[in-house]
Amino acid sequence: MKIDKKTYQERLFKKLSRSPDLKRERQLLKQLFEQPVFWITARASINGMSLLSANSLCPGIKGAGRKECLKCLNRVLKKVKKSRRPEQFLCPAQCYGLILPLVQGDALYGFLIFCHLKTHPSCESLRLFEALNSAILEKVQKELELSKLYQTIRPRAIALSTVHTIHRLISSSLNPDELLPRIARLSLQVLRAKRCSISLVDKKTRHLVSKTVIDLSNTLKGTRKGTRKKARPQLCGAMKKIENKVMRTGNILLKRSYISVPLIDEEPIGVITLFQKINGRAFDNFDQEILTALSEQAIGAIRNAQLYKEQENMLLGTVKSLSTLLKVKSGYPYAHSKAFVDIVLGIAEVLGLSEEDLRNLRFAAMLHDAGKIGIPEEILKKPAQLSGKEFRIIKEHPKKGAKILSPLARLKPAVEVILHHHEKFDGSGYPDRLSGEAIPLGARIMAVADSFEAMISRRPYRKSTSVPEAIREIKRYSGTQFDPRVIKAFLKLAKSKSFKKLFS
Amino acid sequence: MTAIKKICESSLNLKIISFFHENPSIVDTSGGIATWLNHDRKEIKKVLHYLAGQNILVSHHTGSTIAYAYTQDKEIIEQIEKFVRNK
Repeated sequence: MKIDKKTYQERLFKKLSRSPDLKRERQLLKQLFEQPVFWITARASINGMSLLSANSLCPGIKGAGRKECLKCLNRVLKKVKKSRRPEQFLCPAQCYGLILPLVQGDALYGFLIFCHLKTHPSCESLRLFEALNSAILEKVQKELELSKLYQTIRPRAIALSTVHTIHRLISSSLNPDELLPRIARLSLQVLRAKRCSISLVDKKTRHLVSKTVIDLSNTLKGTRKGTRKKARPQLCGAMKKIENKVMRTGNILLKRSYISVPLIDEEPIGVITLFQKINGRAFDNFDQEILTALSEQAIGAIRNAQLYKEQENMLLGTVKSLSTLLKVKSGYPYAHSKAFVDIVLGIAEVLGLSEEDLRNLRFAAMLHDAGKIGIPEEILKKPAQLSGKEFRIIKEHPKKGAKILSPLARLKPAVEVILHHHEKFDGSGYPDRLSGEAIPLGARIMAVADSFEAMISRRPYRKSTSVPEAIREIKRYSGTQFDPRVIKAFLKLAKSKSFKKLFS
Repeated sequence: MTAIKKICESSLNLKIISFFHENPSIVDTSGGIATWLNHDRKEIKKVLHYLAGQNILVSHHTGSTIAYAYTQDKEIIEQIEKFVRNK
């Protein structure tokens, strides 16, 4: 907040006239010069009204005497203004008076006028009051500077702290679907606006695509029906026009009812626009400063989320390729169907696993037989039951799979599941004969899905089991081969429409 | 929501509400608010949680971070404005 010299002098004078130190000085003068008349004025001339208001304190000066008195005071005031030194005078009523300038450096802030003094002030007392006034003025000046500094710095410090908190809130999110509405909500919160829109550049078309619009209009009216995620149609056109202009020019658009800031990384990646302040005021430069700082935080978070998504897609692509390779290697009758991954994820969802766990489990389900790459094809594709020796070789596939995939750091949680998906709940499985909760939950889930899928699949040496029969069989091994909690979730899934659809 | 008058019977509640009312743009954690108000963090945290439950504040969660901001509900803001002005 910048204030001009005149306003500053006015503020300082106001503060000075209310200063408790000045009040104490007045008390001191009262004791030294027996009830003097005291004025503090910012101007170098006083009018009749000022003198009239001092009449009650200046008894005996009436009519023509008052005019004479006024003339005398103004004459001395002019002299003090010029010399900037204290001046004594004898008023027409034959009383002593004194005018002290309020000077600090080059600036003259006002005058202290004392009249109706019963005794003549000595030169020493004059110097003393001069020094005292200078000290009071300096103190008031410092207080004013401090308060000015507080008013300027505090809002910025609060804003800076807010930007830092927002950075913490948005930098932890790597999911763009979650991140963008969060940025929009926080921007609305900080700028106290009604509506926020974020559009990002589509990499293929290079056009702006609206990604999120948060409209708090309903909430603000007190209906608290929540937020609307769709903008009103009549506003969409105007919004698009604004965003395209900002995108084209790369400049911030600050208008009374909206503010639009480009999101520029190395190149423009999008635009964030806020509309209408809740209090109906216009957006200002401070809003622009804050939104610019916020958008800089947002750019980093958006780029991170985009890169993370790209990496995830790349990983998923690699996993899919590996999975296809496995199907080819295992041969059609032995390869897992798409339904296998759906059953695994279905059970996991019933058990309430997190998004992150579901993602890892998906990778594990797609690659759980990766170790079969190292098993001779004649064993994998054998159209008859395996011999003891052959089965021992097959039993090595979880360890082989874990070894193949372990260099991929992002697949580490999935590798644990792959390694143990043939463990049994009672500890009779392989490779490590783990039991109960010691087996990773994902592996316990996969064990159920794997057995179920194997039963309903046709093999060259046996017929397939029907779905209801396979479910009964799975249920029979709850607590021995399988985790009862997983079986409970599997049975719940088996009753669902989505499960029935898999086998219709 | 409990009446503003009743909520503000507690001096700390009033202190926090007034702080957000004066600085409606702030988004900060309990630690940050405790620093601004020069008050014990645990007590501030409790009151912030309570005020968020009363819709006077809005909480933004992510991971282990919880940040608080002032309500954008016009009616509540008006009630608080009235209360703070008459105080």
